[in-house]
Amino acid sequence: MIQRRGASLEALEALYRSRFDVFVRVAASVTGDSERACDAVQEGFATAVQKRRSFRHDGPLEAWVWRIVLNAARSDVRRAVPAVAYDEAAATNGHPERDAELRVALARLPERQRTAIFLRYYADLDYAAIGQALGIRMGTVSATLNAAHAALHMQMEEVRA
Amino acid sequence: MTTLGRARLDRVLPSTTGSPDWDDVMSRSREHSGRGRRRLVALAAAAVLLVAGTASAFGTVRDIVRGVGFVGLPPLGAPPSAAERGELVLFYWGPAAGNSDYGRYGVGKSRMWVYADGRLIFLREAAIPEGANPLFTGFLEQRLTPEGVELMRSDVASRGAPGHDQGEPVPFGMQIEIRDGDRLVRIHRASNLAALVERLTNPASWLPASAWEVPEIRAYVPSRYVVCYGGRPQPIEPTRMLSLLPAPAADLLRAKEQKEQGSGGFYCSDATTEEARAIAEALDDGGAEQGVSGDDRGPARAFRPEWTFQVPGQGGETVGVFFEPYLPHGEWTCSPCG
Repeated sequence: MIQRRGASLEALEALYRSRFDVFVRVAASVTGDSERACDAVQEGFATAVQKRRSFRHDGPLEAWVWRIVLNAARSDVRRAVPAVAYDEAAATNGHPERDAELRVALARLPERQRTAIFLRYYADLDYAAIGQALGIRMGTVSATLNAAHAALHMQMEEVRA
Repeated sequence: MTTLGRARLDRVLPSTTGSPDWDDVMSRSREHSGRGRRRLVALAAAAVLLVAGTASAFGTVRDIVRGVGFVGLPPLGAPPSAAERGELVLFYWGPAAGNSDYGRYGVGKSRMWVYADGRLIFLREAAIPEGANPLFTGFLEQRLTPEGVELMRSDVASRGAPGHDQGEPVPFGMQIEIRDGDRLVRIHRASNLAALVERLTNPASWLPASAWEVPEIRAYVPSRYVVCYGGRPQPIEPTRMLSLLPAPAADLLRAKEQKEQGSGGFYCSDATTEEARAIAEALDDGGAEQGVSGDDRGPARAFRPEWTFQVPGQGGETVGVFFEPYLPHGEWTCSPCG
């Protein structure tokens, strides 16, 4: 059986143009600010372009790119200040009070749980794609999201208390 | 259950400050390719030679590796250095010829192994016209005659035989070992050390023509590799590390016997060149960063194939995987260690 291999440049460009905003904003949940997130997305897509021939079609192209972009964002965090400050930056997003407790609770989540939340509920990826993007099994995605929900619930109760 | 929806998450994320710039993506991609090109030049040149010389049979494969080192796995079809095993009679680790700054760690070092069967295997981080890249020669090989081996061995013995208590102390950061019966012994003092270093690192400058069986420099092609993985900055439990690697690579590594290397939390397995290729390909396909570790000389990947995988979480932990070639005396060395 001949296995398809590689992603086309056109497909990557189409994904980039249609989902740029989503990539940047989810990457910002890792880097802590949108400027560094933007840089991570550019670097991630540049890596994807360079390595596009190694894409194996064993999942959606978008999940493969998410993994690369998230790696780029994490590298940025490792090189720079390891802070997650998006809860503060979000206060300038036109809604300084609304959802403040959710911001704080999200910021307190472990990075994998927080990213899983954004990939599921903001980027609309299914469990299989989230698993590929995070490099974890589908069952682990479910467990990660459950744990994230539980932690968010508990932390928001604490914030309210 | 906390209610989460796109609109709600949209409000908690920072707004996007940039706009799509595909030209910038392509430009960065070309830069990435340029960084990797140095390593690929040797392989590409080898491939051209292979295609150009297919009619000349045995001579072709020799030409593939002659004169140019490589970092990583050898070109397809390159014959391994024979024999697989050899007895080490002389070892040097110190400054490359012409580099007087030999007390300083990691600066322009050179390493050399001389075997009883005549093989002279070496690498350098300076004076590298035949190098795999601008930083590193890769492992190179020449062949001495029995006379040449004896000339090199006796030259070292006359200047710094074991027990020699005259001359200069061999400084920290330099290592000279010579066979004494059934073991290698370290030389601690030597007469005219600078001249000894010059002769060890540039034997062509003083050995007669009769000392060389194959004076041409060619790449050393190993028969086996070691593949190691470990957590950074802290050790990580091996099964957890394997779960973070691309599944095909992890499966190949799980199937092999693994030994912990020292107490640093690195686990290593032996691999044939074919097995090493399969693991490297699986790692390459994993969308991982490559060779981000290193030092002020450059990324570790300039010196050996190396991959870095981020451990999920905010601890900044990574799992590193690298390959090193086995040398004929059955040991491997740390290529990026200066």
